[in-house]
Amino acid sequence: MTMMIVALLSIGVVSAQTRLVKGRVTDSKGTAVPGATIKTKAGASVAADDNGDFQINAKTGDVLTITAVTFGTVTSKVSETGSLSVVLEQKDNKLEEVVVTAMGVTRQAKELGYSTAKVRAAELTQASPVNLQNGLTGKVSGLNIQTTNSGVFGTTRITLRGIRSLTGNNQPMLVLDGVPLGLGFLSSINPNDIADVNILKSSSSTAIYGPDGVNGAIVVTTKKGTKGKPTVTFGQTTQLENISYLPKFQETFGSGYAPDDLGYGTFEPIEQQSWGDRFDGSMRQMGQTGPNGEKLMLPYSYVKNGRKNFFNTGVTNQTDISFAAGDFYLSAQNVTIKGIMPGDENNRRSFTLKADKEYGRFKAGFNLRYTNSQYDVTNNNTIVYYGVTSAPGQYDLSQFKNWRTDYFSSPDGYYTPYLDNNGKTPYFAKDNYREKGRSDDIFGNGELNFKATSWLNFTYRVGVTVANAESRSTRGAFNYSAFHNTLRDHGTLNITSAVSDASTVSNRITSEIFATLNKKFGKFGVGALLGQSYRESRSRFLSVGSNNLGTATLFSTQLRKGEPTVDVANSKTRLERYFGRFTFDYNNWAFLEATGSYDVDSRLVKPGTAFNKSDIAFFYPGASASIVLSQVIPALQNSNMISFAKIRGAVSKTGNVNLGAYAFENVFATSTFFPYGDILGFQATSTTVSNTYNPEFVVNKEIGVELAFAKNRINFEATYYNQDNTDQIIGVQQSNTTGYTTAVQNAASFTNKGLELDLKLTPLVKIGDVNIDFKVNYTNQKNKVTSIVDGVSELGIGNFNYAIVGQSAFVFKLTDYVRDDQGRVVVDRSTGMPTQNPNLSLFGKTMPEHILGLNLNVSWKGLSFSAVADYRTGNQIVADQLGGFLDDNGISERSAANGRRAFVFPNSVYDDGSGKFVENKDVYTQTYGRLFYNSDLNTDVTTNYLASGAFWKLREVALTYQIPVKIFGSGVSNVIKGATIGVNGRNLLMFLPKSNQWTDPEFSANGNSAYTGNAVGRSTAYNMPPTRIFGANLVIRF
Amino acid sequence: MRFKKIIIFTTLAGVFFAAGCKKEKFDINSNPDSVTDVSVTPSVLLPGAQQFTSSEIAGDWAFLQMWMGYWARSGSYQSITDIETYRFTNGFQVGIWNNLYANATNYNLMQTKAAASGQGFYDAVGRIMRSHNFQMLVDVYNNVPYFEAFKGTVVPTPKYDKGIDIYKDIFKQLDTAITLLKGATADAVSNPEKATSDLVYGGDNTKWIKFANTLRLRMLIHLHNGSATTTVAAGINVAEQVAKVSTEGFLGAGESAHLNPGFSGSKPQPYYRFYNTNESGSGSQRDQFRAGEYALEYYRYNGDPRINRFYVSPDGTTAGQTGITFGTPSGDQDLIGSKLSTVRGPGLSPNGAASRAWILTSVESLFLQAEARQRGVITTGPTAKQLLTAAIRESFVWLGLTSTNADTYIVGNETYPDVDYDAAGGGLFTILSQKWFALNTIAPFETWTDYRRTDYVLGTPVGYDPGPPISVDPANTSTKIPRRLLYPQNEYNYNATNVGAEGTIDVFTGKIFWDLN
Repeated sequence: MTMMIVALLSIGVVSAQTRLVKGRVTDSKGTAVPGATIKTKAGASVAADDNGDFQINAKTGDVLTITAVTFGTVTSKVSETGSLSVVLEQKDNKLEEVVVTAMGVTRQAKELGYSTAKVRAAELTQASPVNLQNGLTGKVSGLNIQTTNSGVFGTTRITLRGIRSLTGNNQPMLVLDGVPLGLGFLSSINPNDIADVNILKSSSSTAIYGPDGVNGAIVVTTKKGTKGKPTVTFGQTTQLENISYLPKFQETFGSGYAPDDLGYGTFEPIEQQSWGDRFDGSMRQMGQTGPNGEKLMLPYSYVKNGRKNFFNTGVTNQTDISFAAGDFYLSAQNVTIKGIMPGDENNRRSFTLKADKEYGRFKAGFNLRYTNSQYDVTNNNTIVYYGVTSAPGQYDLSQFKNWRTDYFSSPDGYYTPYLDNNGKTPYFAKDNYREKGRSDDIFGNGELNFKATSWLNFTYRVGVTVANAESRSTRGAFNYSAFHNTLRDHGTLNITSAVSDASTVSNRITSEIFATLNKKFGKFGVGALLGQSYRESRSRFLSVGSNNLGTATLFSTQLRKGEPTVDVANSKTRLERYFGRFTFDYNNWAFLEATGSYDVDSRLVKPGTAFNKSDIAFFYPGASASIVLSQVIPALQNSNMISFAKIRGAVSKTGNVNLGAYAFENVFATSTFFPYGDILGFQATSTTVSNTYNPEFVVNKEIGVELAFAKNRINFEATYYNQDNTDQIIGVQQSNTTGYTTAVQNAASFTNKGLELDLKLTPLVKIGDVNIDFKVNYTNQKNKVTSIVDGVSELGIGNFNYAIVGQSAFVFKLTDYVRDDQGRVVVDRSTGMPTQNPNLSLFGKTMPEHILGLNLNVSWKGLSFSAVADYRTGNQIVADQLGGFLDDNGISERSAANGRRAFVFPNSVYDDGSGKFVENKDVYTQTYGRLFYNSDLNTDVTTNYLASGAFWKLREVALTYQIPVKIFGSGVSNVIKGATIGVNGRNLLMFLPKSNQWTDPEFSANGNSAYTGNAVGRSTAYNMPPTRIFGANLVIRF
Repeated sequence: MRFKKIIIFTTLAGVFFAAGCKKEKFDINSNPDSVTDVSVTPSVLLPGAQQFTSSEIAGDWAFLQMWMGYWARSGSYQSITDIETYRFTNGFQVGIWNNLYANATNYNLMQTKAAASGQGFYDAVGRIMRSHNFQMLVDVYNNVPYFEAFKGTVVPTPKYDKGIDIYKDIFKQLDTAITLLKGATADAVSNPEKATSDLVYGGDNTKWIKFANTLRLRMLIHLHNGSATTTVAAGINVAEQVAKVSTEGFLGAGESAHLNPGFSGSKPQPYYRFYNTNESGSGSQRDQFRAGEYALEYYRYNGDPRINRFYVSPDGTTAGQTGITFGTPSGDQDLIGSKLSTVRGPGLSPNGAASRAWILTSVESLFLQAEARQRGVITTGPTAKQLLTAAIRESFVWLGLTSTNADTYIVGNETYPDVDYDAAGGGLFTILSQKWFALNTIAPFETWTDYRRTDYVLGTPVGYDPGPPISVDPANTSTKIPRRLLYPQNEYNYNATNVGAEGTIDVFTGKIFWDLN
């Protein structure tokens, strides 16, 4: 105690020669190195702040030692005047690297027996992504981030190392500053608040999180205040979003339906389908004559971008401001996204406050985040998009914008009556069917640490999230004019107003208490972590609405005619866990870890039965080890070639209760329209439950090697894993003669294998000030279904995805033509027509087998350029909905492939009468044009829309320049400490194989849903078109 | 001091660890909102199930409306290839199977629950309505799972039972139901809320007995083929079954199994919802179907005023009824939807969205009785001709016309065998023709059965032009209407062995057990 006071005094009492020396620590690229330690010989020590700036009391001529984790050490002499500029060489030193592991515990990477990856703030935000998901894409092996749709919400589906559940949740958990959260919270984190992200790739690394961590974890650590002078950072990013890809359209034929006697298309002015005659540029009347004799006359020729013109250029504006001082960090962000769908908007505002303080042995900290999102979108993308995409080629849709004032743009006078159930006109539909909503997410956590002794530490942490989402969907009224009804003999139904209000409140409370022990006994080290956690999750959903507000213009259920629609649902689960982790190390090169968990889960309680706690509890163990060879083997110790070598391995078992709350009860749903007054009506649902459920178990085994060569310039890491997923709780389909179509039970098992390779060349090239870094990551993943339930060998999970014993999960089963044994289509000898195979045929995998990510970084003085590209392959996609829809309407390039004349069916054969198949060269199809392409012989055959799922994407490109503020003179540089400007782009290029004529292969139906999203690879006709984003940003530090 | 602190903290932490959570804290897995096995009662299952039955009857049979000549696809819509060429896969009309089983599941749950708690009324109605669904299933698919059905995961792959065995068991179920309805446990005390929850007969036991009798008669009539007076389907003793018809008799005039729990624009009558306007103010099948020229021609020829009760002409006049022939290729501008009569006739939804829905009509009951009397299945009471006249009158009344209108129609068509029972070629042919006219849209599955079991094709005697309403789709090669449906694909996926034992199904030659033609 006395010693400490002396030490403090010695800093406080400043001698005459001592002055406040300022300086800045950067890496070789000029990027600030926050947290670098600056020490004087006398023992005083300070840390650089977030911007690498520091101030220390020192005398001229003093030698300062500057060190930072993963960087080398340099010394610098204090000169007489001016500030110090210290450049640290990045070492990526495997011996020093630290990672944040489960429970927020920081550990040295070399100790770990399993694979983790770290992504630093600079890499995450180099291209100013709106959310963390975008910033991580392509950067980590084993991590698959699939953007399943564009639009203002930018939905993604995230998996680590493939899947562990056939029908359940496969998305990793999110840990924010030590507190476990639902992955849904990811979108409400301001990417600029993040200090770094650690990816824990398997259940071995998340063992002490138990079931939540079975799919790995994304551990986010946010920035905190740093010692030194306060800094304010201001950032502004503006990005523009454009459609990058539309399906291939035909440009030859306009609107029409019926062919003439010779089979040529004929023009039909009110038709929405495009089976008309060839465009000839003549002026023609479109639609019907108006009430005052008005005619819509247009040239009958293809309008390039006529459909695309419906969409806007999206604009995203992102403004950030942060303040860091002492133990304090405050930030605010405002993001405004205006989508490509005209009128769609999503705004997000977030505030963060983080502070911590040490009081002797106690350390307390808290963290408070608030995010508010408000959106206003069309709630019926489907009908809007239908009207746009199906429009005949002679229209420029943007001419129909003013539906309120222009007769031919209004539902009354629109050129076609055939969009009746599809929103009447796309502009009307987008304005008339709206959803406005907001969500308020609050996250708070508090942490108390007590350092009992140098080797014993206690932590208590409590985290609360409250998410409140509310929305209002509306449909406006529209009455047709009397004139309109004279055009339609049976009249067109007027549209009545409707409203629906929904609100979901969910909250989650997590508390963790644990003790950590670390003790050295000579060359031996022993560590332990023992703890207990408790979690309660609740959610409550309420909705009320009315389908009939008559012609009301005020959207309120208060104005309802008849009864309102009401729905309510609650869910509550509790999980209590006891866990332990024991670590042993020898001489800093051999490490062993063992974990054990004992979980008690409320979801295993069968209501109405007596139970003991042990009935709802389960235990599972894990172990891992690592050996740093480069410190053991003498030949390696002194090698100039090899700077680091480590081998590692892990085996762990994790239990997971893959059930929602209340899973033991068969539920009866309210029958359609009930209640009628006092009369209630309920009916059985199609799902039946089991009497008992066991937790699913995942056994993860992995081995890996980590190598560094040439003074850590070359880093290589390889991991092979094998996961056994047993006793899966899934809904097994059964004959509905049993009373239920689905029985939820412990059934299937499957294995999941993969290889992950990471190669980092840092730098790849270094010539003078030019520094080029290059990183490659590669993932190979395969799985195989080993069993389902007795007597069942396949399980359909929707969207043509099937789990079939002996096959990968999942494969497509699709409708195909009848083919011969060489795969050629069998056509009729006289009609030339193929036939549909009544049985489904097996096709490729729906998840990519190979994922390759490339990261390039070039810097020269203050200028740096980065690019991320990725490639995925080994899977197939089906665009039957979009493809079928386009063929149906005669819009697609396919539908005009043969000039709408009879053709020889490609790659076809016919039976020559003797049972032998001969190649078809001259038998032309009996039907063609609309009669073929818009028949079920074309559109129902899903293999017509099957394509390779492969793609190359240039995900990110960014160019930034650090403005040397000094050139503006000291008047400026005293105020502005630094400034960066940059331009960036996202998804600039996409290369698709020729077979894919439809859309982004990442797009998928239900892709963003944790539970139903497993069935990937099938896009809908209503996914928004893929987009590319360009932007510029400015960051100023004060 | 330092040591003390450690002890205090460690003790506190230890207390926290040890205390943990009591097991009661985990007893929260009971659903606070949804009705479950524990809280469900027969009185909340019955209304939902009855409404579902009426909805299934109104909405699932559009393909038969077309096959039976009542409707056709509008010229504004693309051809429905499978329906219009009679060529289809195991995915065809699976809604029939799925809905009948789903609905029967609910009647079965209700019946089982009621039997366990001694609620004779709900028990009996459950048996009758479950039987009604199975009668329909057998008539569409012949052999189907019955005795092993509804056992959830206990029997995940139920065996298929012979159609005739299901018929036989249904007769037994009806016997039990009638006994229950006449017993003490069918009263209002044992069966809470039966007056309100029975949407069809308001808990009237007698009406349900009549319904059971009528269902039995429907099935007995199905056993009769051609013009034979005795059943040709062996194995069921018709006389014995007729003897079991209880003294309450059959559903008479005004005793249709209707329901209207309070249909309105926001909760429309099922028929109105499917083919006119739904609760959102639109209707997906509103314009897909139009009047079948085949049926229109008959009504027109006979000056039958019911034409304007089934159909609405484009100009709203009674003279302007225009139909389209089933299977006509689309593209003809004279045959677009707006130029054709709709199938939204006021006879089907007399009060628009607020109209009653139907399950089994008194009209059909009277036609069944007329045929039974004509064939000698019933040997007492009014004559076949009297019953037929009553049936025609009831048809007119049911559709919103009057008995007088019916009599005028009958008189006006004297000597035509499709109206005049006494005309040359009349008799059984008259009864079946009139049944086909009367049950337009209301029960196409029954007129399909009549087509399959008799020599008559709809309103037309054999060899008489124009023959059955075969699709004119150029791609159609069949001159016959299928006689059954294929089992759904899901059965081949999830109950493969059992459905496989039924062999390859041919929809033209594969027949229901009673179909000997």
